[in-house]
Amino acid sequence: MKTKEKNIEKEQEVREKGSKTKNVVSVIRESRKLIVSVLIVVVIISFVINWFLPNERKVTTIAESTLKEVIEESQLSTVEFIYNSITTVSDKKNKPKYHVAYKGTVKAGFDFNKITTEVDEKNKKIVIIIPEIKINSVNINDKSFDFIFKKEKYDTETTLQEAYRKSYEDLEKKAETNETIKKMAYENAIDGMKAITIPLESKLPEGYSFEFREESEKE
Amino acid sequence: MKKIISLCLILMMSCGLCSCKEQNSEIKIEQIRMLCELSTVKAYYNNVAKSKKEDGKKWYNVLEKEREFWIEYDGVADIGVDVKKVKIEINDETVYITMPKAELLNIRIVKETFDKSSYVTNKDSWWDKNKITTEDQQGAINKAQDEMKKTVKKDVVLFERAERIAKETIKNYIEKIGEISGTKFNVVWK
Repeated sequence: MKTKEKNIEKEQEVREKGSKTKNVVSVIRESRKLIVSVLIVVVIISFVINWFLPNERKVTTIAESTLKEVIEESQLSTVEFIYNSITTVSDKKNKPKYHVAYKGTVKAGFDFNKITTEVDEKNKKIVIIIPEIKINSVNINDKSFDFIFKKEKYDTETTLQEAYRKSYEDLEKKAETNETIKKMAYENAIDGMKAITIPLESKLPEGYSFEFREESEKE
Repeated sequence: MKKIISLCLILMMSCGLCSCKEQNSEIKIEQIRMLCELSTVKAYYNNVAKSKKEDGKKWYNVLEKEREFWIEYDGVADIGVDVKKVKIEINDETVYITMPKAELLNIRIVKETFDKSSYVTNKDSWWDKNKITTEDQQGAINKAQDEMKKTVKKDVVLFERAERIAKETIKNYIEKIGEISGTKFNVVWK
């Protein structure tokens, strides 16, 4: 009898232990499911946030500049033209690849050391002869480039160098053929030279005055 | 009816052809400045810009590479004086000249040194490209030009040399006038 009771008790204990174990296992299973679900949600949210965050690729530059050569000169620039321009860059078959908009400046003037003088005794003039006006410098503003590409394949890693050279040649050509630049440079050169010359007029021989002429007007 | 439709089609095509005409090189003068700048020193610099471009930070950029690119070119700085600021006073045969300080007149890139060979870079990833754009390169060159400008401005010797040559140039001119007018001018710098 007692043995039977003991056996029944033991069976009950085992059953209780079994159900407890089952409970623990199901809790663990449920927890795992919950953890996995939470992880999936977190990953999805991270992807979504990551998608909308800016994807900037920062460029850091270290630059060094070393003096190579110094040349002495005496170029007087008397006018500066600031240009906004567009040029088209084409391939070897003359098919347009892209258009580039740029800003550039052109300075015109002459070599100061090439000024010559003459005496016009008949008219009592000391003639200051301004040398031929030339384009002193052509400068492309390297911060000003804007591009429109015919096809994306033309936007290569050496496009900037090509665009710079083409823009420079374009502006140089236009400056050389622009007579207005040279005309204005000459007129302003006369004004500039008068400012530093006229104060000396009082020391000229009696009746003499200064006259300014362009080299091409030489008699 | 057919004739009218054909005429309309021809007209439409003509308009289309006109709009396809390529834009020729256009130039517009934005500003004209009167100057009187005497450039007496041209200083040539070798500039090197070494740049690194980060790879993308998104999960789909995992195969993207960090890029490195170098640009090398020559730059030139024009240094001289503003002749509009030169003052001349004369007392007997003595000419008193007030000369302004030399200044940096211009900085530019030497066109002949800026070509495809001035640019080197590491290889891009085969799968996920991290392209070096013209904007990236412009940024690097801007930094190099700014660095060159700083280097030039620090070089006091260059500016003193430019001033000295400007003085010699103006003095020679005045002496030339004196020679031709039969007066021996004595130049004094204020």
